[in-house]
Amino acid sequence: MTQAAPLLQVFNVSKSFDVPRRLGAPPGKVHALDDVSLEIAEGETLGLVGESGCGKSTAGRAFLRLIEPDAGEVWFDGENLTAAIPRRMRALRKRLQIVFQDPYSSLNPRQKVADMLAEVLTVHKVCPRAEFPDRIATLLAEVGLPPAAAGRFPHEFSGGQRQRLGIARALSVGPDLIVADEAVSALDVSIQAQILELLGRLKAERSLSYLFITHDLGVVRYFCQRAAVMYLGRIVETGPVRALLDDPLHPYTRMLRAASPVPDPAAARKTVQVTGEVPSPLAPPSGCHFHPRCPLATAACRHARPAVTDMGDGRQVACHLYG
Amino acid sequence: MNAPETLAAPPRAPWARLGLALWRTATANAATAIGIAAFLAVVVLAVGAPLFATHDPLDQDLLARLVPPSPYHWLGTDAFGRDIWSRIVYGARISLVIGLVAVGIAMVIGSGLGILSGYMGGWVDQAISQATNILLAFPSLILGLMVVAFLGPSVPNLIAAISLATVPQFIRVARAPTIALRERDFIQACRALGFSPLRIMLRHILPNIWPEILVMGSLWLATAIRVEASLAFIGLGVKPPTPTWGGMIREGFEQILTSFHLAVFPSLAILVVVLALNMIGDGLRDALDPRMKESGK
Repeated sequence: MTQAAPLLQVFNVSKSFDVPRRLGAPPGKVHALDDVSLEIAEGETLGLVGESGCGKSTAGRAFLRLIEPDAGEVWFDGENLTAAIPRRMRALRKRLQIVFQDPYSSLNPRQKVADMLAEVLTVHKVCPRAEFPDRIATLLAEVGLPPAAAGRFPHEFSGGQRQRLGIARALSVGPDLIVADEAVSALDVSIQAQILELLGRLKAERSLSYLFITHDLGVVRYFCQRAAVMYLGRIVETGPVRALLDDPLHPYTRMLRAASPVPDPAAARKTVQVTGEVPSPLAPPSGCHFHPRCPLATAACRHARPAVTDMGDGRQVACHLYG
Repeated sequence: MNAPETLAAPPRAPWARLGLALWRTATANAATAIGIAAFLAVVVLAVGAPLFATHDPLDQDLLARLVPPSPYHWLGTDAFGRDIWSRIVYGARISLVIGLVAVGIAMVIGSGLGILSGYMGGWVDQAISQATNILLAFPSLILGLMVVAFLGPSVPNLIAAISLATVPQFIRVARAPTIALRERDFIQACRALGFSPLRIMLRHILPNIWPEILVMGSLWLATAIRVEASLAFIGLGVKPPTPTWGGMIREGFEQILTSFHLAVFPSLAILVVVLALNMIGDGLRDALDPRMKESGK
């Protein structure tokens, strides 16, 4: 692991959403992000994993300020994003991009591919207008699409091709970091592999960093160097992918690991029964959010939120077992 | 390129799409075809009024007052001996100009405010929505009546009055789909790309909601023409002797028992235009709805 200065640093970011009052229920708040901190080094791919609704997507969007965090700071390449004025923020957005999960809603249905890319090039004055056709053809080639794609509308493409278009749009501004929000989850397995291969190649060619949000541990193992595991808005474990998946520390990571079919006979088989449901994020359990489902829970887990413990080798875990 | 089979029709520029939608409904739906034909006929009559009028609409022939329809005066004459056909043809200009300009203004202002309200949310949305609700509480005729009563009857004031009465409709039509679009990933992508809110609203939201706005426009054009006629009927329209349909009905109303043709023919003119616009609006809505579903998946 290279120890360069982190490209993205997230300090104690929180975000909650008001839930409208329903008949017979008190108005509530969903703590989608609860004191989340993480960092991504230059050229690194960090996987952010967790079950549906745990706040992964909110995290990705909050780091890019597509959703304004309630508290905490996000620093990018030595600059505080959360304090950036709108003008500066719009300029910084050239360096931070996002690729979405649903290739059908992520492209404007009324805009031709060429117009979509030309608009970005215009807004950010990437190159003179005369160079647009060349630039667009280059971008399309980079994501494996023929130049003829430029004259088409999004609905003329398949899901995988649309995802390539979304990637081309993100690349058009020349970003340093791309948040891939379940970018391959909506695709067929064979297409998934192609898109992952494409993302991997782009990372090498353009020295990109990724925040790779997914629920698929197999994809994390294949694609990421480090991973962070999220449960109900909190990060419970962070570490290098191999160590984290082969020797999970947090009971939740173990449970996820056991629930995920990883075709790796070498992996140690720690069978932990997956029990219980994910609690309602409206009323998360006290102390450690995971304690009602945790086979190893103690009295402390019910009362106190576990602190993050550094376990060495770049591993951190938030669990009373290691506290 | 293997495009999905479900998406057969290649998309086109907005105007071409509208034309195609109109053509499709017109060929499939007789009512729409009749509506389009009738409305076009009225537009042609209004534009070429000097060609189609048989007499000067202001020319009084005191020897031929209250003449019933005849080969010389196709639809008869009024109490001053003015030719009713010619007055209807010229009156179409007033109705169409006031209706089109008023609805056009309302459409631009209303969809602008509606998109702003839906996209920005927060206090902007609160302020615009509350103002809209207040305006919507008044029937459009009452609202128009108040404005004209305050400002005095003239073409610009009538346009202002009818615009004000119509604006809230367009705000509502534009706001709801904007709220739905705002959360779509492609709008979020625009934000992530650093596009300004103005660019997102004009270039990405407007093109996706304008078919709905246009359908509403055709339906509210009919209402605008009706309101203009109603205001003229109660004496708050364009001043005589300028021929307006509502004014003609008002004048004819005084002779309704002896010479009913005075009121009947301008009433029929209003009926034809309003019916035609409603047929077009209904047809357009039917034509655009399934496409919206298709592209909204």
